[in-house]
Amino acid sequence: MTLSVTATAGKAVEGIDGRGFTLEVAFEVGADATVAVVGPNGAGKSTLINVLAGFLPIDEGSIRFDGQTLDDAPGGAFIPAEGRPVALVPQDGLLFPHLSVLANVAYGLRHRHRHLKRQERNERARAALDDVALGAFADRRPHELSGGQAQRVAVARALALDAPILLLDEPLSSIDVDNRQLIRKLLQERRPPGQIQLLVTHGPDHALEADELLVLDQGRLVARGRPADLAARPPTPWLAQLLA
Amino acid sequence: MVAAAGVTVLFIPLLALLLDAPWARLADLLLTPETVTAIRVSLVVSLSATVASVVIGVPTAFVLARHEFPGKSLVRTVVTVPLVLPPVVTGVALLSGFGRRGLLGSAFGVGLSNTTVGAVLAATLVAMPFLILSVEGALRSADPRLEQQAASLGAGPLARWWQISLPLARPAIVAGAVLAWARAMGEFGATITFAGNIEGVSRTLPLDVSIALLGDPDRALALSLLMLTIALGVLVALRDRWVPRR
Repeated sequence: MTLSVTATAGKAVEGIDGRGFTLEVAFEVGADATVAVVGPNGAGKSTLINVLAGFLPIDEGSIRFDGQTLDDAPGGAFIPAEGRPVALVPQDGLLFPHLSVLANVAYGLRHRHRHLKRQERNERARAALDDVALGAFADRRPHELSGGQAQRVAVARALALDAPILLLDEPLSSIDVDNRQLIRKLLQERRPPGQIQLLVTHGPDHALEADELLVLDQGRLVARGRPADLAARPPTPWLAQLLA
Repeated sequence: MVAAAGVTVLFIPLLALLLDAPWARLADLLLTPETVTAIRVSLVVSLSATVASVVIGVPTAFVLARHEFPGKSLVRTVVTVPLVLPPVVTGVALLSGFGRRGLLGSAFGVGLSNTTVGAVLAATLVAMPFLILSVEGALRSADPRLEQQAASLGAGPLARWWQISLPLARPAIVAGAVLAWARAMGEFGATITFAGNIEGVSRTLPLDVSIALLGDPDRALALSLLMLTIALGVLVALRDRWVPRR
């Protein structure tokens, strides 16, 4: 259950400053690992998420997971987002505005766990909402939620899938302080065996909890290692400031 | 001042229509066999054109909003040109294409001129641009990341279209369909040119007005009043879309 990434991507993506931008990374992540991806704005964190989720095909290299090729630029193989063993918590929740909160959480179960009957789906979705302390909001519409609540629903929607790889793009950015602890605890306790969690974050405490840190800068992997080691001898001034 | 004068000038004909209308005989005039037939033809033609506009126009709008392909600007021009083309020209073009002596008519020995199907075709051509523009605009302003998110939750392209994009575009589809229907109801030039003015076949309400005006002006007034009422109804139904309620 190893995720191995050797990829160049984003040649067609315009960088944050309008100049060209390329992500060029190589790393492996083993089962059960939590990896925090950190870096300044425009470092390529979102591009990395898009590449792993299957939204952006890579230009060179390959992405493999557990013996399966997800993307292989030279070989031409590409598994689109809907076929990947991946669940994603996007930065701003991105709930479907025309569906109830419950239907939002059940949506992934409907497609990824087709054997489930409607009632089982809804039970699981309800349980996932209870986990993020929003069980009472099941019948609401997304526009009735605060930004933080929407983000918690997005966490529930992704966790309910029990996906082998969970991508989290700043999952706590709008969540209030009281609930951050709840979500962080949930991400650890609710994870299925073997799940890899890859987390983009700007929060030093969340990053320090990870098993490994990947430090990106201008599309390159400039440092990686255990958070404690990197905190002791920060390889870049930016990281020193983040972990200070 | 200019605005007040302008509004007055626009208002006078509508007021005159109301004053001129044969209110006492209105029910009788609207229930004459010719009128009932024209109403029936109008409903059949305009509703068929609306359905055709939705069935053809919604996928067209999706393709125009989401995909890049060679000849895209040509497609957009072709589907929207009836908006600015004089309807009679659309009618002449239809004769050249689908008339008995037209391109397809002479090839297959059938023509659609002077038929109800021809009237539907003419109405569809002039009405569909309203629907396409409305739906395409809504799709362009929709967040494409919602579809990505649906993909990431396991939904394939068809499921995403049916479960996410289409429901999100529904208000625009409804508004576009109502506008298209109203335009089809009022269609005159392309219909009379291509489908003729045959009672029970292609004589819709506007065509019937032109006939009534020659022999029975009161009936023409009654029919005009009916169409004015329909038009106002459409405006009221769609008002919130253009002028958000405070």
